[in-house]
Amino acid sequence: MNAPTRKIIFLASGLAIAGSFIAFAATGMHPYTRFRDKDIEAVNAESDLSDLFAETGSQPPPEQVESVNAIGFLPSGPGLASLSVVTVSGPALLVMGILFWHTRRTSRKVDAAPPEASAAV
Amino acid sequence: MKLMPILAIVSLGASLALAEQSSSTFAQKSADGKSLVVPQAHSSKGTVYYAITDRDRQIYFESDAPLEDIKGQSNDVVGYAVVSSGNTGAIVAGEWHLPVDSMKTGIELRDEHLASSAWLDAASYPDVVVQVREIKSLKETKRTAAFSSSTMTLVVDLTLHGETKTISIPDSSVILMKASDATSKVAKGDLMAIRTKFTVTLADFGVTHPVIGEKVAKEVSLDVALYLSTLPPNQQ
Repeated sequence: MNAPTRKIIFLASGLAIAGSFIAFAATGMHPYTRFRDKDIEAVNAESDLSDLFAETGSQPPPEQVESVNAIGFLPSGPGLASLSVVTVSGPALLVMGILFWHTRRTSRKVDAAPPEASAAV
Repeated sequence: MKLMPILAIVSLGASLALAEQSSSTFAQKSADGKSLVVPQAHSSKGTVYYAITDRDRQIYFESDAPLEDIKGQSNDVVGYAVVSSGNTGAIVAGEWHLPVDSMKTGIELRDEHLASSAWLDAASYPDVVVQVREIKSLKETKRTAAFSSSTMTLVVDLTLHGETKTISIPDSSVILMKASDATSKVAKGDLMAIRTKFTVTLADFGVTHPVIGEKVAKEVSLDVALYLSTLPPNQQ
């Protein structure tokens, strides 16, 4: 593997790691990846009854479950739900580690080679 | 072929569990599934209010565990409450069914886990059932021409995961609202709101799992807002 290819892979892996953390932070740092849910949104949109009874001074309505798109730290299922910080950064870190190890190994071989062989390389 | 006897036993077990839940003293669901058939013994005690389902959020639950905070909700509760004829807000009978598979947490896979046999086992115990046993400490807090409100301790039988426990829920509030132009724009009939909060200890209902105490709290808190009408669901 030549040096430019290594650099491109290293850069792409770094971007994937950074991207996953940025997406995680930007979407609310949810522990699990989640997506908007039409059923939850439909329930959350209904407030006629609670509004009517609010006029009597009754307790506020119960809290509601969020319906958001968010890249979580961990995946929450197959398909798109498998996208997460761990599932994106993990393989990217592994690729970077293998690349680093491969580069070191190659440079050691070059250093250890006799002067003629080294020159040939 | 060897699987056939095993499948038969599993199927028989599931049927027996279902029969156990449905043949108990629970009210049957109406044909359209949007209400319960009110037993004569209950309807004769006073005014029947039917739960208004598929509208506002009725149940919100939260499990606040060290590793995870799970929040869920449902608006699929069906049931009824019978209020004494004096219309003081005294609930003399009532029963509500919350379908387990209607509880949504915002993560599909988690909802599936919640309904699975490892947790609430919706296949064997499709509903969480609440039946009113009695009320205590009834106190009228406000009365106007439009509505009356009261607080009370609700004593109910809660059936979850096939286990029934009697629990007392203090500071429950009931508001009764007479039908008017304002209310008819929202729902027809005289209306009623029941607001209450309580906690459920999962182990008390036979729900055990290695992650309870870590990812799922031992106690789950519930916030209930039931809205009911004197008209059955198909006329609300």
